[in-house]
Amino acid sequence: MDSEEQDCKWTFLGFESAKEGKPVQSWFNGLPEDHRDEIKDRLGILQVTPRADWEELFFDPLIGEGGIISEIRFDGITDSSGKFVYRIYGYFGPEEEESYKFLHGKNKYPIRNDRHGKAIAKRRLQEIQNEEAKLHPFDMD
Amino acid sequence: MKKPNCTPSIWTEKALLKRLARSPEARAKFVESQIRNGISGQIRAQRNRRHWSQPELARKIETSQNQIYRLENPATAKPTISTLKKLAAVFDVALVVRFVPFSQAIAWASGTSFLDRGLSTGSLVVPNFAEDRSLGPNKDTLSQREQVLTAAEEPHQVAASGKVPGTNSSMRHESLPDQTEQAKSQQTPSAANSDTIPGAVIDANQQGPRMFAAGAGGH
Repeated sequence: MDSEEQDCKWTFLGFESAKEGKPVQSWFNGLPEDHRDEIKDRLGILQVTPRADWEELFFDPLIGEGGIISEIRFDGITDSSGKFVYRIYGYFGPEEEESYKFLHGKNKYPIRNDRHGKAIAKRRLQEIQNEEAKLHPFDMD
Repeated sequence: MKKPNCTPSIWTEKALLKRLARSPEARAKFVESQIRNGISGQIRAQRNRRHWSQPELARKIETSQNQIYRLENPATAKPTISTLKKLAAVFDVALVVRFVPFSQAIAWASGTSFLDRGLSTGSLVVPNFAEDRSLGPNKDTLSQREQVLTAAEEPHQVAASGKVPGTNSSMRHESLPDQTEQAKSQQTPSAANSDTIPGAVIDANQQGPRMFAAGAGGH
C-alpha cells in the first residue's frame, strides 16, 4: 500500500433534486448536535477505512435488496427524548472515485426491516440514474 | 489504485474545538467515542489485514469468538488494557495508553499531522481544560482559539502559531517545558497555551518515527 493511498479518504456525497432539494443534508442538519457528533464519529472512521473493511457491524450491503443500495449503521442512542437508531442508505460510486452517495437518512427505530426507507433510497437512485437528480458534496459542519 | 482527489476529514479542527468547548460531558463523550470507534476499527482492520477469522484471533489471545465480535463492534467494545496488550502481541504492534492534551486528540481525529515530543515532564503533567486560558468553555476564549487557527493557515503566521517551520503547514508540536515561557513570550496572548487541553487516547501503532500522521485508524 503506498502512502498516497493511505492518506486519501472516502468522499461522501448527498442526493439532490429540484423537487426535494437536499433531503439527506436537511435531515442531518436538523438532528440534535450530539446525535450529529455520533454520526460524524462513525463516518470519520469509515472515511479512512478501506472498502474491504466496511463490514456488517456498521455497514450492510443489503444483498437481499438485489440492487446496489447499501446502508451505514450507527449505534443506538438513548437520551431524554427517546431512542434513536440511525441509518443512512446509499451506494458506492465508481471505484476510482472512492465515494459513497447518501440517498436517504432516518431514525428507523422501532422498525426492524425498514422497507419504506429502502424504497425511498431506491427511488432516489433511479432518479439519479435517469439524470433527474444529482449529487452534492455532503457538508458535515 | 490511485485516487484523483483527497477529501478533507469529516472533523475539522475548528468543528472539534466547538464540540469540545460545549461542556465537560461533551469532552468526555468525545474521548469515549474516539476510543470506542477507533479501537474497534483498528482491531478489525489488523485482523483483516492478516486474513484471520474472528475464531482464529480468539484462539490466539485465548478468548471466545463472541468476545472478538464484541471488541470489533463499536457499540459493545469495552476492551481492557490486558486484552489490548494481548492483541498488540499477536498483531506484533506497539500499544500506547496515556493521557494527552485535547489538542493532540483533536489533531488525531481531524487527520492533522503532528509531532510527538516523547517522554517529558510535559507528557506526565497534562493540563486540564480549565487550566487552559485560551481554550476555556466560554465563547470569547473559543473565538480567540479560532482566530489562532485561522491565522495559522496563513504562511506568514507559521512561527507565531506554533507550527513547525520547514514542514507541512499543518504539522504542530508541543513546546518543551523549559521552552514554554520563551515560546509564550513570542506568541500572541491567544496563541499561548493553545495546545494544552487534555484527553485520553488508547492507541495501537507500529513502532516508528516520532512524527505521527494522525488519523482515525482503520488502516
